[in-house]
Amino acid sequence: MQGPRRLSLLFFLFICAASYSASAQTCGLSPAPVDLQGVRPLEINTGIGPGTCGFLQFAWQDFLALNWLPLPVVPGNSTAIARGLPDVSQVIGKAKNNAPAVWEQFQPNWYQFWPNNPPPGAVGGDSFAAWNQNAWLPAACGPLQSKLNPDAPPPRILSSLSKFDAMPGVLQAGSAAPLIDQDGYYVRYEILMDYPAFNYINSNQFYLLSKEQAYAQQGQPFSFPVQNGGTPGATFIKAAWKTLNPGEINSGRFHLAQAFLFTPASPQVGATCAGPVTVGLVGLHIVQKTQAFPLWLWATFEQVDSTPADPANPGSAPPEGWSFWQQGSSKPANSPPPCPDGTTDSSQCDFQPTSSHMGTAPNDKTGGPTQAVRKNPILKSPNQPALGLINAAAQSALKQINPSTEWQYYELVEAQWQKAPGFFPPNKVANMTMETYTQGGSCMGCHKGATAPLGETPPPVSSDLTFELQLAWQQTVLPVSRVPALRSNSAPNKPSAKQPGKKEAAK
Amino acid sequence: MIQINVSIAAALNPDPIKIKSGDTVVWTNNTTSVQTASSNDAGQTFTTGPIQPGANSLPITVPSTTGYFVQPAGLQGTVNVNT
Repeated sequence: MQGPRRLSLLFFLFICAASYSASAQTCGLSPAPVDLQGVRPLEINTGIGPGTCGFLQFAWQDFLALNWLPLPVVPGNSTAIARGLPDVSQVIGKAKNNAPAVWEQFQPNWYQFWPNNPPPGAVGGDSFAAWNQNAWLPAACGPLQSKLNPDAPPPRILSSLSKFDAMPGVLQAGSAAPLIDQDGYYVRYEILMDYPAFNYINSNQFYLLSKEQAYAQQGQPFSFPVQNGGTPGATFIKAAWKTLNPGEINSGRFHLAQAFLFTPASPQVGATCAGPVTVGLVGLHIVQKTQAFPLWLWATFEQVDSTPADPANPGSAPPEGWSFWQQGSSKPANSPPPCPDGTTDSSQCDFQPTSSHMGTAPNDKTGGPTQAVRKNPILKSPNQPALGLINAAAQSALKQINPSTEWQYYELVEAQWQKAPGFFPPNKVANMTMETYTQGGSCMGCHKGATAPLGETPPPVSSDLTFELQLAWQQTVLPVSRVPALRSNSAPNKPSAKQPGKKEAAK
Repeated sequence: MIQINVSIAAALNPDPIKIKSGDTVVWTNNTTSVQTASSNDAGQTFTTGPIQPGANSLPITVPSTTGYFVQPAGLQGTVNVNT
């Protein structure tokens, strides 16, 4: 038996043993519908106890598979999926913490919804060419990528200051305030999708408002695909990244990436792209559709150093301190920071995104780092005790794989799914890094109101609980300049592939 | 892995900056104007983006040895990366 296969089997046996050796109050990762070799789960096993365990098990299995080491991307492949596939010869947790993950190869929403520059069209109902090619970069970021170490993992292009600000160049009115970490830097976000979700939008050209309107006028509901054969159902990923200081980088507790931080033009300043910067993954939403649960399973993970699980009992601080909380701080909890100039209209805000915001500089009225307090303590979740049990089981299993793996420092904060028509407990679900200021709501409570942007004629129709279709653009909007990506978003130590040429957007 | 702090004022301090591969550099803007530090290759190796007066830049991971300039202060410096 080859080494990686043997390790994978040992991993599997370990979690099986962990699961079966405990009492009826066990919620582990077994019996598993997948062999834990990077294969994503397809359907929720609702028969696994106690209580909600099957749903939480699905969430952790997805987390493990999505964070598996990926195969290299083949950008020129137009006949099959060649991006976002796991390397099943590897085992999660064995690689360095700056190795890329499967989901990091997924395509970002801004690639698909780039005004006037859609990806290549579908052929025979599939979008392989569009999916496999490297996403275009904002023009401001183009120059910075040419001198990166070709042996290093590829960079992320992080744009949004809030998960509600989904797309470069679209700073939406009423978007949520940013989150400021204890070093004074804004958290950055990105939204990506897997192939089934991508292909649903691309093959139907739903990046165009006219196509969405025509579809809705036929009376058809928007419906992203569920699993098909061995292909998982449509999946959206939302990730939160924190700029790390050297102590955090050295701690081994964060999944790392190199990133360029792109900021769309504001009324005050032009677009900027700063970097490279070392960032750490601090939050991860995984939203996946299944046949049995077509209103999606909503799972959210955090890095454990974000803020105490229960602010009333914070326990010991992590080695490098809490990322978004300070013991004994007198600052108001979960207070959205104003713009640096003291104004509060985020649509007009110059966020000054490439400067620190400690609240001490002469012109910094942000108030400094956010005091992020968890309103929904994890231990008081309605999904307990299964939630705590499966977190402990998964973290223990990962630690057995590699005592220094960063993945042991991530936890499932909460999950949500439809339990009955219109009934979505728990009704308070929040990721501290993404919904700091809106912890009284939940994923489904918010997304159930998502509609396609059709205006009054025809009236808005449900967009299958995703807001992404609202990024559809009018064909008359001004083009946004962009440049080819020079490097493949693939595994490290692989030859990079130059992006085949495509005309830059017409000026 | 360490972080080097560089002051932007009437001069750059320290200059040159001596770091190892993977170390980060943070520039502190001690002037009264917004400043930007960028590598001499038109920012291809790194750029901090605008740094507000009294604030720190993002912690930049400079990948290779390069000269750089700070505008509009008109200062020039060097980052030596010892691999």
